[in-house]
Amino acid sequence: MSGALLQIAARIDDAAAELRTRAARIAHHTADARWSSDGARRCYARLGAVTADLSGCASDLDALADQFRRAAARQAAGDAP
Amino acid sequence: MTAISVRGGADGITAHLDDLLRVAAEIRHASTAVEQIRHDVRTNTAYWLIDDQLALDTLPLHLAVTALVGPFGRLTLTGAALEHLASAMRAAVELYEDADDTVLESLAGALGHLAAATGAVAIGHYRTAGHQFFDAVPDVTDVVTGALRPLDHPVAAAVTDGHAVVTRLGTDTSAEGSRAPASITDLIDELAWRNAGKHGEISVSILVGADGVRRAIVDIPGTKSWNPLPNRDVTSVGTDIRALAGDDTSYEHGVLEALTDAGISSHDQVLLVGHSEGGIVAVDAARDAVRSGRFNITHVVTAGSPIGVIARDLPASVQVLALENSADLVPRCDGAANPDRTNLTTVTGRVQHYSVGADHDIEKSYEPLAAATDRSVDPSIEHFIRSAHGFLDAPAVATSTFWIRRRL
Repeated sequence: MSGALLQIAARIDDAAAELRTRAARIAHHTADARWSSDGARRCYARLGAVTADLSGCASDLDALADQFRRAAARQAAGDAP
Repeated sequence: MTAISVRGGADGITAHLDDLLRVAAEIRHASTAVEQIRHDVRTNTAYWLIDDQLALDTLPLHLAVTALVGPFGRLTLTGAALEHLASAMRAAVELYEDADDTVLESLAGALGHLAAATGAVAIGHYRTAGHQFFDAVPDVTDVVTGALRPLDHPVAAAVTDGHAVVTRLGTDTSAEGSRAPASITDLIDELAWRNAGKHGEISVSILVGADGVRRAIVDIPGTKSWNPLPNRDVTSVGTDIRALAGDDTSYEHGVLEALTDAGISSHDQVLLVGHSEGGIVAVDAARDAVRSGRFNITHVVTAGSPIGVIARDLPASVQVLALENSADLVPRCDGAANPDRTNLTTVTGRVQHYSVGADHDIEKSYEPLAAATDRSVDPSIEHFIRSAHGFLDAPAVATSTFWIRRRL
């Protein structure tokens, strides 16, 4: 059972890494973009918020993976979940 | 000092729209990734939740999973927000591309200037009225010639253009012919020098840049004969009519033949510099030579050329710098403003002599505009000059001159 929990934690780790990669790519394209109009600058600000959302989701996934790992550890120690 | 405004190029609206589309595509990919992750987490944890049968001490885990991937979980909402944002950005770009605001701006400008001129006459300010009417004329020209544009091709097809006959005149050993250009002003100076030659005379200058790459600069003067009847002069108005419609001409074929005669191959980079009709021919030649693969024409500089219509068909690999004197009627005579394209930078300034000829003159009007362009720190201009640096940093050039005539 604890092995299954660790597998879930590992999948969640991968998911968090994927989200961070996506956030970084959006930030990279945004930084490279040529912004001059007010509308474009507002768009830039919105994109900053989106990137922050993705990073926040990645942190939540990290925390979830940790919870699964702790559950696995408890189970392995006979402290049953 | 001539004040300038810049449209298009690397910092133009189209470039910005391209950037927005790239970011929108990236956001859509992120949205897809989020949905996939949400699905994976739900599937993986679902197996475990069944096994676990909701034991009380694992309740925090159940809650954490639901808070992330449940119907109102953070991942669910973030994925939906990303999809919505990507769609909104794409829709904004499409809306902008669909709106032909250039025509509206032109029309509004014309009406505004004419109304002001009429008002000035009414209160006796004739000189002011003259200025304002003059301001309005180019805009009116746009509207009128735009309305006549559907007639371009039938009229052009009726013009007898014959075939190009190219004669090598020799090497230009003068100071002007031997001087390597270092700026846009130098390019326009040298075009003025070539313009002083005989009707149909062009030049091909071969240079080797600091990077060791061989390049060629071709100077193509404009209309010199106003004879509308079929004749042997390729710089007569017949070329204007055909070239403006985007049709190939004997003048264009002669330019390409001269490049071959000068030993230029499809591996050498080529810059075409044209005034008025020469600029139209340069844009048509760049389009045809790049499409066929015959020559690698990477850059075009035009001065006082109406290229608003024909520039739409230019391959993206050709960078164009178009100088336009707003007091000059000629750049407006195709009835279309230059499109805002990443590879087309239009520099507009006002050098007014209150003379149709002087306002169109290379030395009187376009050299000051070129000097203002060189002084500018506009990002689109700087991008064009950086991209053309190989043509502007050679220590010397060897210039050959050619005479193009039309055989009927």
